[in-house]
Amino acid sequence: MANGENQNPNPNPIEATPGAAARTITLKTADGEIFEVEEAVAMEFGTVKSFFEDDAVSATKPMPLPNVSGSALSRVITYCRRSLEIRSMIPPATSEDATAAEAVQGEGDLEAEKAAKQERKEFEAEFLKDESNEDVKELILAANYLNIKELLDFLCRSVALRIQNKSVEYARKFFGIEGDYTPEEEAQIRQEYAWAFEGVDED
Amino acid sequence: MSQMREPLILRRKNNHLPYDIILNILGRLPVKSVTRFRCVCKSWDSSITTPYFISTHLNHNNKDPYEDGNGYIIHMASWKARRVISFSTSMSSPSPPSLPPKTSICTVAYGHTFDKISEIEIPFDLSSNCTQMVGSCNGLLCLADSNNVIYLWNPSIRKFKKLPHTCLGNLNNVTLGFAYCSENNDYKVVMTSHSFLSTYEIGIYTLSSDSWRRVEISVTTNVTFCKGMLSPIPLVSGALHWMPYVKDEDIMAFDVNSEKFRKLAVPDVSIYEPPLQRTCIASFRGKLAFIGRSGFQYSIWVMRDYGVVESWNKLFVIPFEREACWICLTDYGSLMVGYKNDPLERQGLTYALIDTETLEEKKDLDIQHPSYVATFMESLVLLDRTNVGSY
Repeated sequence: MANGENQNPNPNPIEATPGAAARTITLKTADGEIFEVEEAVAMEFGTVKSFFEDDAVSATKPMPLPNVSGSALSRVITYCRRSLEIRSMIPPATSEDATAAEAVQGEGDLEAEKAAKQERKEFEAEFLKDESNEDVKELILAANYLNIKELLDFLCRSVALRIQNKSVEYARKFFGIEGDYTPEEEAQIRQEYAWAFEGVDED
Repeated sequence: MSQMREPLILRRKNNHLPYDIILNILGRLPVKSVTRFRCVCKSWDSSITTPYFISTHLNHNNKDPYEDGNGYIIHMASWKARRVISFSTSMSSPSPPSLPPKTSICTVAYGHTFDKISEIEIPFDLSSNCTQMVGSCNGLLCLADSNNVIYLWNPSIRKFKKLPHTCLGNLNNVTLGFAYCSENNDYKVVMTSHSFLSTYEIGIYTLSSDSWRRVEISVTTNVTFCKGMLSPIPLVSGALHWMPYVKDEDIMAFDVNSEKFRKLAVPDVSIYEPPLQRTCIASFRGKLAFIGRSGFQYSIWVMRDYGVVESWNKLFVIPFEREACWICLTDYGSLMVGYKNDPLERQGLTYALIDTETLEEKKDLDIQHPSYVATFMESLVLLDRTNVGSY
């Protein structure tokens, strides 16, 4: 394909609404895809944030992300966008005094927090439903490179859920690790902690 | 299926996660999984058995225990030496003496409903008739018998450790407290003993050094160490707290990090007539609570700002229709109550659980009397220690 800018629109084009003041930041992935992202969302990426804090001028040039593919970035953007939306459901705490805030925090605030929690739970349950293990790992690498703590924590939690009932062999395969115990050593561990090997999912 | 727009080579790349991310993931696994995955490779095993990993894992898996449905309770029957024998006036149906409840089982239950999750057998032999649950911190339990043989036990990873004999001599009127020291990520057992000479002796066992040593008491006047029956000595803000023995005296607090004693005044209860019967102190959602009884009514004060005596705040008043002869405030904010049964109907006490905020009562808890009750969680604590027993 042609090198240089691939001007194909990303799967979720962000049209700046006419008259809106929202700034966008342009990102370019390893496979040449261009993404125009609302500034608020892009600033969720630690790497992007420090890039633009260091050099405020280059807001016009696309920022290269050599370690992230288009498909991964697209998912990351979806997550961060939704996460911002959910966070905006909770009114910011106004009181400085923690104990006064406990007393004063209205019914409305608690309700909003509860609703936001529920939204987040549902959203996170759906988000990775159809992603393969390889896709999830790719997302982890992207979130790690882009320095998005919330997404990284969520992805790690999700992987933990996926592997918690799996066997030792499954874990080795998942992480690409070669076991280095001798057969005797491994047998000894399995015997000493036999209870931890019960009820494990079949591979 | 997402669109295959990228070159195949990117998609099929074997994504190797950096080691710190792998540890991030492992730190979020349940205890059973972590234990099993020690077998994956040697570097995982070394990382898992470090104090750092153990405390990170603890923080991940025990966020917000005070939120509904998150916390666990562990309870254990303690058999006091007195047997309950009922006498019947009718010769035709003498009631048999009731047998002592088993002391060898601990029950894990949901903190808010006390619905049973599992029963765990105590894996070591506590010889005497009477077993005490000294405390429960970060998934590590401390049990002792009436001969002051003390064990630390983590049922989640099936490891336990018998403590060496105390450094104190002439043990009398012993009280035991168990605490987590956040400053050094360590665990301590505190033993007080009141000798014939009327001076208190304090001994402290530290897990990291696996040894006992004496500690001097800096407070000299009106020193008493008194402990409620069946309630562990509460650990609040890094300090263990003993009830005053005499009314209107202060609470004795021992900061387990600085190893300093101080006194804390109880709330001002002078308005009560007849005088409030002081029942106990406890940890209530991480804060120090003081519970007193007036007639059939229990009042609960909570010290909002730790150490600030003026911040005692009466939060709840719980009325009872009948006499509650035993009370235990759980850290989650429920009040466990033991009602005396009509002796003609049933022996012993009936237990109920009362939510302090809604006053909803859950009757007939499946719990034996007398029992120790403490909060509980799963953890890997003790995994990094050598010289521990496994089963």
